Amino acid sequence: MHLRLFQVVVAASSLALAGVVFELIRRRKLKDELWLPWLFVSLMPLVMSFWLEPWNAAAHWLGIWYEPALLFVFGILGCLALILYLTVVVSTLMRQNLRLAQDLALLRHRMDAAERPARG
Amino acid sequence: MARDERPGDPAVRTLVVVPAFNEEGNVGHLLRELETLPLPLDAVVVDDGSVDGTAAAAAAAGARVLRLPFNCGIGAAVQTGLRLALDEGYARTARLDGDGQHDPRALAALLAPIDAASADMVIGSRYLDRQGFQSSPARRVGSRWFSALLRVVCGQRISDPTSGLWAANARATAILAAEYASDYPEVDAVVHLVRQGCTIAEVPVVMRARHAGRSSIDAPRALYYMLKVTIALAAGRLRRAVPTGG
Repeated sequence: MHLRLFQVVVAASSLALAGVVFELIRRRKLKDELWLPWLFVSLMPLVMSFWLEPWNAAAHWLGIWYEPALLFVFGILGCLALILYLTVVVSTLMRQNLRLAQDLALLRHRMDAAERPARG
Repeated sequence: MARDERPGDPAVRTLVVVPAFNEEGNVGHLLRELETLPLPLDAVVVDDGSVDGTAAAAAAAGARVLRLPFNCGIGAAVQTGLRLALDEGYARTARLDGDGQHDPRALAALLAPIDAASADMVIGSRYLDRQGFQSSPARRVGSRWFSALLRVVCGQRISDPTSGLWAANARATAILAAEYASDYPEVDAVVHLVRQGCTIAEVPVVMRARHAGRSSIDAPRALYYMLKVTIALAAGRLRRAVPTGG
């Protein structure tokens, strides 16, 4: 099999990114439900660089004659999906944070009320 | 075991929730006014992460104070007070803003339809009699817009849907304690209550200009308020109503 230079560069970059993601998983810096999309995204270019024909056919079928442009389209859509997903995660955290702040205020109030008679 | 109806029993009293953010200069005055009312009321000030002496001023005026650890937004502050009312079994709740714009003397009129069981929530409207402080032009435009929207969404005419002066019975309190938007919550709350089958009424009130400090709603924020609440209303209309609270 004859490897072209761009395939080597893409494969090396993809493996390097996958290695970084794997290291972050190993150090528990990425939470379990968040690392799978990243591992998928990091290994996608590796697969695509060796599996060019279906990719080219899909580009032509969509009317795209400069095949790498399809990669940019998917890349941008993937980034948008990831940002949207992260916004959902941040929104959940904000909601939980507000709930915790309210619980803290209510508990502190109860604690103050319980300590007041003890202080006399 | 049934509660006894002695004075001080939350089952016959109203918890007045006063959200306050940097209202050191207003909150004490408001609480002293509340104390003079011949109504069975308890006040709780929810200090929304103030950096001034709001909590100390409220405590000095004899109110209970809930201190949020950081600024969470007006809706989250009100909801904290509602959660306290729900936990302690209060029969009614009312909201009065800590900036002094809401006249506590309006509480008797707000609570009357609730005591008569003719409404679950009663909103104090500054536009029914058009007396007193009528708010900024930007806010008036927003109010008209929301009023028209509520007519479409709920089939009900609410003349002052952005009013933060309201009273609610235990059922409406439970619903709002479970779900209340963290910023610009008033219109969303009305829609949410109507969808849960609650009855909303309005009574005329006279609002005042602020005693001290500046309002947080300027023209750009009013525009953001309108856009945000309109989209939230449209999304809420498409959301399935899940029974909450009472």
